[in-house]
Amino acid sequence: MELVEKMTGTVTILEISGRLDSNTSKELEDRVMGVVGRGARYLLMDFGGVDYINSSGLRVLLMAFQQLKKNGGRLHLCAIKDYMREVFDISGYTEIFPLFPEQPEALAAFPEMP
Amino acid sequence: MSDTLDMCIASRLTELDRVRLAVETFLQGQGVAGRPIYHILLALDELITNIISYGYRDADEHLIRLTLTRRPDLVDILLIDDAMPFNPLDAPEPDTTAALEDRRIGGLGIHFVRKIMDFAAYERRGGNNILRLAKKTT
Repeated sequence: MELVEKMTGTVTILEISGRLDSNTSKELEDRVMGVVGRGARYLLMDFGGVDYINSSGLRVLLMAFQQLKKNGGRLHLCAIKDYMREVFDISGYTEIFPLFPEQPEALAAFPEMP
Repeated sequence: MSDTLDMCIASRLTELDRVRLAVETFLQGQGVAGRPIYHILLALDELITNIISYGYRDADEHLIRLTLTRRPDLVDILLIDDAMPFNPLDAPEPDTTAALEDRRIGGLGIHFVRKIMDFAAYERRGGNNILRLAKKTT
């Protein structure tokens, strides 16, 4: 798994690529905790390069959401490949995490974005 | 290319990469791609992780037997282990409608298996958990 971190206005963007599984989820979790620990409120995770996710990867999203929520923050997701969408639906996540096609739509949907 | 993959998996989490590569190579060779291949890899990942992480009371090495068979419109999966009796089809459903803040972290993996497979049957026989699954490929 590769992680690229960017900032756009008040939003931290994490571009994730590769596999999000039991071997790599801890690395994502540590990065998310680091971002939240620095006081970030708005986080966008870009799944454009992710070709596999399992329940341990999905748990990190839940954890990220719970941490951000404590600071009144938000988590947006974008660019999830079609064949993985169903697993987000089955998890019940699509009802609560906003999912967007690409970064621009996901960024525009945060409050306070110009 | 043979239409059956038969492998023995040692009860160590480091085996998961080898299983994934073998299953991926086999299924790609059988023309399976996209959603079905992802669902099969995900189900096996979740089930085998569960068996190895929670299934054994001793520290001995155990073997898990995995057989995949390519049928005309589906892939049959047979998973046999000698871990403690566990029927994944009976495990309690996670509450996927609770508010996310309150949601219990866990139980999702087995839930996926039940939802993404087209057929699933479990039996306990001769000290083994025997799980049969099938995934449509059309």
